[in-house]
Amino acid sequence: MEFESLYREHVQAVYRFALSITRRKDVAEDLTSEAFLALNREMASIDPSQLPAWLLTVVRNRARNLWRHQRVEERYAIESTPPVTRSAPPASALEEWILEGAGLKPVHRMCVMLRYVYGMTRAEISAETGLTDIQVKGHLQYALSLLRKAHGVGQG
Amino acid sequence: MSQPRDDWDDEERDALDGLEGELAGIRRRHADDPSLALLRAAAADALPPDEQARVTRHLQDSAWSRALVDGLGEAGANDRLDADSEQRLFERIMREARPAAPERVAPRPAALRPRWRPAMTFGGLAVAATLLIAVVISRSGPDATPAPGAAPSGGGEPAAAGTPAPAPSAPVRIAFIKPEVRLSPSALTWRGDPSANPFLRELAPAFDAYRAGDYGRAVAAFDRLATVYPDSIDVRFYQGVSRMLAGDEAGAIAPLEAAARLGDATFADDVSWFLAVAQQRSGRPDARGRLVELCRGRSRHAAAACAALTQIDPAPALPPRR
Repeated sequence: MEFESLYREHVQAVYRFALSITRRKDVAEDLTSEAFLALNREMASIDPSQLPAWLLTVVRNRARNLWRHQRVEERYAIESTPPVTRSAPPASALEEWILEGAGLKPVHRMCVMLRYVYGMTRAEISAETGLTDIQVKGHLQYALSLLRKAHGVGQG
Repeated sequence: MSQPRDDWDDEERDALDGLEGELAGIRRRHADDPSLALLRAAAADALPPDEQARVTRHLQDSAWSRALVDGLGEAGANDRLDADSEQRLFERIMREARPAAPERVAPRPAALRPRWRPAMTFGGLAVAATLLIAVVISRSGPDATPAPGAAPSGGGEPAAAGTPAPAPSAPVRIAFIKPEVRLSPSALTWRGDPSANPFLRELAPAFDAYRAGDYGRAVAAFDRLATVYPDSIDVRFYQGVSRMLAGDEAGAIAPLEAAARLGDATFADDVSWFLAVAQQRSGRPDARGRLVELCRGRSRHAAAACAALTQIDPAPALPPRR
């Protein structure tokens, strides 16, 4: 199979996987490029049935190495070493609602978390998730409408 | 963790009026959670082993972070390179690949690192926030806890060209995170008023056991319900997942296949993912094809499926990086 055919067949999955790791389009393109460059070098020895896993593994390993570099270069900067504590059980009705509220899809929960708990702007949420600003706004409006019903707040 | 912004609009202020104290409490509880970037990378099994293990443990323990990760997976399900970008990237690869000398085609970490750094430090979020990703992959036991002595895979450069990938020390088992309880719209609207809904009343003990981690009791309850409500997606899905959590992956396949046949759009992504996990853990060869399909599709579990493939397929055989 020719390289270009393999590229066309697998590039979207590889890119999306890279983007899921980094959320940065330029970095995801770099990682995708590295994976396909490696494939290009090793074409003769690669069984196409190993794809896309082979490419994805290259992306993952490159990402791991970059995390290591990052950690060393920044001398265990705070980003690399936050204490990982166990989250306490939900202690409020609102947290329970965010986690289990009927009618909420994962994307709604996430938008609520990022907006009202992590204090992001809609533009920041959009940049961080890949959703459009309109989608973010729509998800938040929907979630808030359910919240009103669930908590009976803000109802005139 | 940021404080509430002043940019809430009137609708937001109205809806959240009186809830500021609860929001502040939630912020305090999650102030020390791993950052968004860490969670994102952990979901793809893309952290160095020590950090991977740490964040994986957190994800197993924190419904909050799991929910965030689920959302990120769903939001990213439609990520794609557009046609122009796909072509531009192809041309870039061919340009860089053309000079055959290895030292010229070798990847350039120095060029990559500066771009990566801001992504990792994550601007103002670095200190504050937390969160992310869906399902973490590891060699693990039935409850998604890494098996004793089983280190996260990878972590080093791929093996040298032509060198067979080292055989894993233990069979790879895709780890999964227990899905939260949620009901299908049809269950919620069954006969109108949920409080008067006999189906929901009968489901309640099964879900109580499921939530409590009493999977033996949950399996018994869902098995019983499946005879009464064989076409309920809620029953079939959680019957399968409960069996997986009880360690009976092979037994989980039938109810999950039944759930898949029901074709419920709300559960479709989850059914497909957990069926793939059950098949893989049962040693079924069709698991790989299902994972490839998930990885290449637009499921919110796509990234998790891709990460799973990196675990179960042979590692790439590449020359050592310089």
